[in-house]
Amino acid sequence: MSMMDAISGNYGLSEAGAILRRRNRSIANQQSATLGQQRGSRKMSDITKQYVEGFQPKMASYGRRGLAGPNVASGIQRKGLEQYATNLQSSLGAETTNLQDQLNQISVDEANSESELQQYLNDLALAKNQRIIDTATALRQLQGY
Amino acid sequence: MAIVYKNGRLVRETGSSTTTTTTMPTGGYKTPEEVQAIIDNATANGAGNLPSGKSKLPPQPIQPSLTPEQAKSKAAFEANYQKEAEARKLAETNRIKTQTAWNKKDNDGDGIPNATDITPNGDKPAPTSGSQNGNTNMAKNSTPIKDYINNQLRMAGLPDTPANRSKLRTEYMKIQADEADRVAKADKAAADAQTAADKAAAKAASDNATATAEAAATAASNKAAYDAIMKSIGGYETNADTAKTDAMQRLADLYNPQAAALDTQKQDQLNFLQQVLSQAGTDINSSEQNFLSRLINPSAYTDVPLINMPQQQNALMAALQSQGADTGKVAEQSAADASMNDFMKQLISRSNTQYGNAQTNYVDALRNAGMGAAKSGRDYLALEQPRLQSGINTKFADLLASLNTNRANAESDVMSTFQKALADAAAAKLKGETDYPQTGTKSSAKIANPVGEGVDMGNGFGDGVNSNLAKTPADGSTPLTYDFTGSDSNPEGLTAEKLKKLQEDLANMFSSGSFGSGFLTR
Repeated sequence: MSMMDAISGNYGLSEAGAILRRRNRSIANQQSATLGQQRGSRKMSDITKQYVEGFQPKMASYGRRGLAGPNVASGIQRKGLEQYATNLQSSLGAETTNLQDQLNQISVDEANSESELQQYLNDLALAKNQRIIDTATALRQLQGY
Repeated sequence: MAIVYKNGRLVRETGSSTTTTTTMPTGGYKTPEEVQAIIDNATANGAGNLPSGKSKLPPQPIQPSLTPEQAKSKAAFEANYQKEAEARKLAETNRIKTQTAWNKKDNDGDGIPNATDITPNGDKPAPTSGSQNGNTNMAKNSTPIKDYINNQLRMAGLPDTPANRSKLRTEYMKIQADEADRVAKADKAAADAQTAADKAAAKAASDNATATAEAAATAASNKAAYDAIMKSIGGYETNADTAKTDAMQRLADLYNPQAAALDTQKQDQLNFLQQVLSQAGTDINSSEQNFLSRLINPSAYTDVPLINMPQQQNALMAALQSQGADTGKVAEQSAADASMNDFMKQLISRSNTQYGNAQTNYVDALRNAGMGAAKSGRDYLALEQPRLQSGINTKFADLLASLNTNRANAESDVMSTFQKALADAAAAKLKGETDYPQTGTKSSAKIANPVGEGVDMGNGFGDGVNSNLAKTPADGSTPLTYDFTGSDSNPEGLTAEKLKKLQEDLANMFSSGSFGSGFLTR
């Protein structure tokens, strides 16, 4: 086994370890993305369901107050319904943004992880190269001269 | 008494015997010891009464114990033996008494006892008639002693009695003895004088011869000693030359392989240097190529999937419209949310682009660093090669110089010892020529010069000067070495004194130590 083989062997082990960690991290990110998507979708469904189910009681409350009903056009009722619908939209938008940020952050984390792996491997390659050069130029067998 | 053979044994018996007898040997009586020896001899070999031609009896059976008759016979034999011994002793005593009396007696009456009377017939007993004492000389009427006695008797008027005659005879014998003594003395004096004269003459001749012989002996002794010294010196010089040659050869055997090994080792080191540098360059190049090929271009932030979530349809829009409410605010809220989402996506996308650029720059820096390190390594090797070559050459040159220095010192020591030996030999030659001068011989010794000044260097340096000095003695003979302990202890036949002095001279000559040992101890 030559000097390069010996040195490459050590660095190869480090590379393998880094790649393994990178793969595990990627799996974890995929799982997080899936779960996040599921949670986001369910949450948005819950929000929509909550607001839809609350619409009739809302209308009923305006009716009890005489602000709604047949042949009744109340500005208060309209403003109230607009605000109620806007609130629904805002809740959905916030949840959408949260889900997008979560997913994009997972993607960024994945990219960062890949970048870290590549940088680590390149660092290892440089260190190996430097060590081989240092060893080759050490000339230990000829130090007596 | 006779010796008789009875019942298989020889016994002594007195009186007549009717048995077969053995007569006594002729020659008269035997002593008891002789008789017993005869009996023992005859009994031992059994040849006493054997028939002629038989020298030995057959083996005899073991004799049984004596019978009473035999015991009686034995006792009688022993008694007779004792009596006979006593009789013999008595007879011998009587014979001695008779002989003593006869010796004291003066048969011829001349006053001289028979034992000492040496005149003719002076010890004969007086005859029954005729002369006075029966001596034949006494039968003559005129003899010197008779004339002297008669003249003295007549002149002195003495009566002719035996006493007077005896007195005058004694007087005459004394006169004769004195005269004989005087004559003997005179003869002795003459003989002594003659002897002295002869000795004197001989001594004179001997002194002259001795002086000549001593001179010749001294010259011969000096020559022998001189030759011995020269031969010994020749042997010493030969031994010195041999020891020097051996020492030089041993030094050559010691140092030549080392010098050759140093050169081989230097070449090996230079070759090794080339191999190491070549391998190092190859490794650096390979490492560089491997590094460049394995360097990963940044792609992590390229095509990163980003989502721009669409706004959810408001489920209450239809209800709002049915109630106559305005849907504008809802639409505004939806548009605002969509805008925020789009912004966030663009922000992340741009951030990724920046990350990607940074990574690209970083990889470029890594590539440059790796290539720079490889170039630096190659440059270093290029610089190290001549320095290491020079170092190897210098180091082995130093080692060779040290080796040569040690060899030169060792050879110098050898030559110094050799020169000292030659100087000792030359000094010994001079001393030998001085102590034992030789006529007609020129001094051949020459004190050796110091090392390096044209003296004999043997066969190791080829200076060619007096190279035979240590090889042939001065007289041209074969070099010898005397040890004075073996058969060669005195080869020239020197006297003890000369030999001792020669030994001392040779011992002092080489007292500086055993030549050659100095070479061997290095």
